Amino acid sequence: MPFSDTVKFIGKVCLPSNMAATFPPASSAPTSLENTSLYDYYYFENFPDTVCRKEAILSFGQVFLPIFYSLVFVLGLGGNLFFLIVLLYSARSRRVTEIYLLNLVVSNLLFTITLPFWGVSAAWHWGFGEVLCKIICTLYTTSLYGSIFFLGCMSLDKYLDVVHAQTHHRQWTSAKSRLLTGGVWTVALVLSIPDLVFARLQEGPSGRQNCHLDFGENGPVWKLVLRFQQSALGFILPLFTMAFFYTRIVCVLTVLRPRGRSRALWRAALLVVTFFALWGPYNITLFLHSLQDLQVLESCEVSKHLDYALQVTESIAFLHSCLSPFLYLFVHHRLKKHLKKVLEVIFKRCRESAAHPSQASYSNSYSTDQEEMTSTGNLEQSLQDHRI
Amino acid sequence: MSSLIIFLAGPYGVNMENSICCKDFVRFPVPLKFLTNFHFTSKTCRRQGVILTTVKGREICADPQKLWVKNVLKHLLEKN
Repeated sequence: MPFSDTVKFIGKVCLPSNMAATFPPASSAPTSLENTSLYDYYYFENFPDTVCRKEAILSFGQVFLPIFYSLVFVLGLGGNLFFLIVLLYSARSRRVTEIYLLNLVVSNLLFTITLPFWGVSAAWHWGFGEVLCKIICTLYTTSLYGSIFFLGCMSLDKYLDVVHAQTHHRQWTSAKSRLLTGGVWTVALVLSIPDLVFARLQEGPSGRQNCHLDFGENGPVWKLVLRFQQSALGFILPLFTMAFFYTRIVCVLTVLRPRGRSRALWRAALLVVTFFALWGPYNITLFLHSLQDLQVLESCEVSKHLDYALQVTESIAFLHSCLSPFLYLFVHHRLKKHLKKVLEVIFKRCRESAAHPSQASYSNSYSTDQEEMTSTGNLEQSLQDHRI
Repeated sequence: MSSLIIFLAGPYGVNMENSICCKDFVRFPVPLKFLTNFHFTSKTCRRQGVILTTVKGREICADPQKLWVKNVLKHLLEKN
């Protein structure tokens, strides 16, 4: 508030009403003037608040973040480890999709491993030393980008599978997909170099240690660049990539009209919509936060709301690391088959260990041809049907 | 006095600016006689400021780059 407004504010509103309500009795006024409290009263008691206090937000984060991170950690670790085992078990016949899915699961696992560290950091402080500060920061950024990029790779794979169906399996060899996988990890690692270089331990007041990114004099510029980079590479690029590939798939399916088309369309839409629903609110909040840094938004109240929003939307976005393998289970037929195989073997072993001789032979679980023909309509199968 | 801006690494949720920051600065010099103490806001704050405490315990944000603030801080340091 400019000075002239402040004076107007004090003169017009606060002075008459507040004087009547709380001002000391007339007899004591001269004394107050002498020891300067009158001046102090006029100018500083009614001076608009310049201090923005956010203790409530920090207290909220100290409880909310560790609880939510623990939830994502347990779900993410359990779900992704399970998928890792299923995928490794089916190593004999690994296709391109499975290579990407394996890498997605590994990225998710690496990401969830960092969550307990952030939970402790939010609840208490960073008590793990500077080396772990650098390692966990680097791991966080690498795995975050890795898991998002591999979603893009999977949409590319599905696109090649459907739109370039005839030549895909010959041309897009597993060597090429391994090259792409290497490229994705390289880019993700390069994007985390700033974390490795600038992450430092800093001791705050009351001995609290924090894991900081210390960019020195260029802090504000770096902060904006990194936020822009995260929005561009971590949201806009993958969203457009997925939207493009799945739209092309939808176009092909609409023209060819194979069996199970509507279900395949619904599944493709589910992947894009889920990605947007989980990452969208977080990225919009990040954008508004950047507007604050550019001093477009200046209100303390807005800032407080954005801080709450950022804590909540970011945590929701982290759910993607638990949900993505399950989503792809719905979409990819072969994964379902692998899962079925693993479950059958597990059940068989259970039955054997319970000393109940079983008629279900091992070869039953591999009767893939029959299974594929009788399984519910899915994108891959529908197109195979149509190609005939 | 430093103008460095530092922010926490990792998730932004863990990465909030410190609990007490300056949203605005006082636009006119505050006489020294009304002030008792001061402290700088955290480096994680978006706007680097100094919080002046008045005799009535009120906290006011001031721009540490301003000449009058520098003088006030010097005198408060001597006084304390």
